[in-house]
Amino acid sequence: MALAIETHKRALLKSISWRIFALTILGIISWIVTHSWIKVGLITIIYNLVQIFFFYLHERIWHKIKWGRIKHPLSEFDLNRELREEDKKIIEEQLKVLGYLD
Amino acid sequence: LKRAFRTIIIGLDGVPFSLIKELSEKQVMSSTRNLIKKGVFKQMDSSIPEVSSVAWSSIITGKNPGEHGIFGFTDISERTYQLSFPNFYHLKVPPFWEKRVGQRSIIINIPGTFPVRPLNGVHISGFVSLDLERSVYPPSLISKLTKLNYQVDVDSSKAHKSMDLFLNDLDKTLKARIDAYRLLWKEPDWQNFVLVFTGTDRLSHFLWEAYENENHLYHSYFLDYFQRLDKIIGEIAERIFEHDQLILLSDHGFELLEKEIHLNFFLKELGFLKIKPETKGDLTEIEFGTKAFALDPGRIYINLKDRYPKGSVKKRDYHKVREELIKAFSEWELEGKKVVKKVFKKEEIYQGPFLNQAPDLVLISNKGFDFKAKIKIKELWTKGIFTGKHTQDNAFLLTQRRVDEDIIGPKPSVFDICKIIEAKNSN
Repeated sequence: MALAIETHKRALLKSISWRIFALTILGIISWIVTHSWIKVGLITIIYNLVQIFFFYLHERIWHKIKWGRIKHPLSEFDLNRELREEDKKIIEEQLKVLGYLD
Repeated sequence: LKRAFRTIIIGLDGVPFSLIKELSEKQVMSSTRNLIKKGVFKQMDSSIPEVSSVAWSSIITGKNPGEHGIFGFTDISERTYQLSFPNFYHLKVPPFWEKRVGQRSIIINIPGTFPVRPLNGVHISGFVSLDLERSVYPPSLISKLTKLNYQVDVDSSKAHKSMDLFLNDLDKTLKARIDAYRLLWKEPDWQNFVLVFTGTDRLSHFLWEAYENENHLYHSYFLDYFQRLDKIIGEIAERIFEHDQLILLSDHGFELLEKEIHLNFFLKELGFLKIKPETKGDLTEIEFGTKAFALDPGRIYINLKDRYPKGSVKKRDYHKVREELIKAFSEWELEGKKVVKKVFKKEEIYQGPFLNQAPDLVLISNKGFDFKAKIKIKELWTKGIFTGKHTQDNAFLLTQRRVDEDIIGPKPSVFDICKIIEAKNSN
């Protein structure tokens, strides 16, 4: 499996190009159906506003669905959190038997 | 079809250059002898201090503690004097395999790499690890390792009860480690394979005496353990391809331990450390007036006023106190023998953004002396169950590329390993 890093610039450029692409398709279809530039404009504005709301709704619904999500045992490990007391005791014990601690 | 080169590192934790030289010459390690004949075999400097967490963090990043942020198995909270235990998440620089984008890596048992984090490949962390759940990536591997009876480390507490029990556990740990390596060698398309044996360090802590004394009850066991490792080294050497890079190394050396020297007792005797006589063995109990305290193995911290809650040394007196300490350590003799080989100021050995977290002084002990930082001890020195101690200037490096010699020079250090890996990578 090839692993590559997506830079912020590349991701931003892709977002913009996809928006232009999607708007153009919507514009062409709307114009073919309506033959009115005013209607094309209205459809574009309304469609995009409605899309924002439904995209949010769709995301929240998927967020609650656990299916297909592999949970790694470290996923809840807080990087900034101190070790648990029981973890510390185990480490202390491991270091003690090798003479590193009292 | 041109096969991509791979980097294979075999780590023998705590194995000195002198031991490899002797056992290979005596044919106890005949496979290693063959590799020495073909490659570059050097005595290597460890990190300062010469403990596995610091040395391995330096090996895998190529950086010094001032850059990677790991100064020991323990650290101290500046707010509370409480001990903390740095782990893989505290390593501030990525290890070499994380920088080799697109490459698959198999990483087994490197000390200081707990808890594991996701990577392109497999990672089993080394000492100090808490449980397999947090020591193994991907998690699907845990059940396979459990079937192999894999354990991250030998249970060293057994040595305090019975040496036979301990050696039995050491054998089991080694067998499972070998089984795990053989299983993971079959993983597809990896470019980096790191396998570290830490049983060598444990064996040397408890039975270095057995290595040096041919009449010792466990002398033959000691040699047999290294012979078993040598077989695995030979097996791996036969499995590699022509353009692969094979590196054998240790993180520090070992020598006979004569006396455990208790630095905090010394500081107490000289009036630098003030602590209640009935202490439970905790640095949180230090009292006002303390100028300095020690952490294992030879790390000295000056109790600065603005740094610690019971800080007693004003900033303007910092250099004066440090010089007083250097003088005291430099002149310190025990039974006519200098105790301290070298005293380093932090800026002499560390550079980087984490210099301010470093101990103010780091001591290297003279031959036979092992520095400890126990608090409640009531003697200057003791001699317990351990017969071996770490050394700083006697690790080893064996690489199969003759051109590596130009990169590492006559006396390499643990900080040079990434250079030879990267040189190979850019070829």
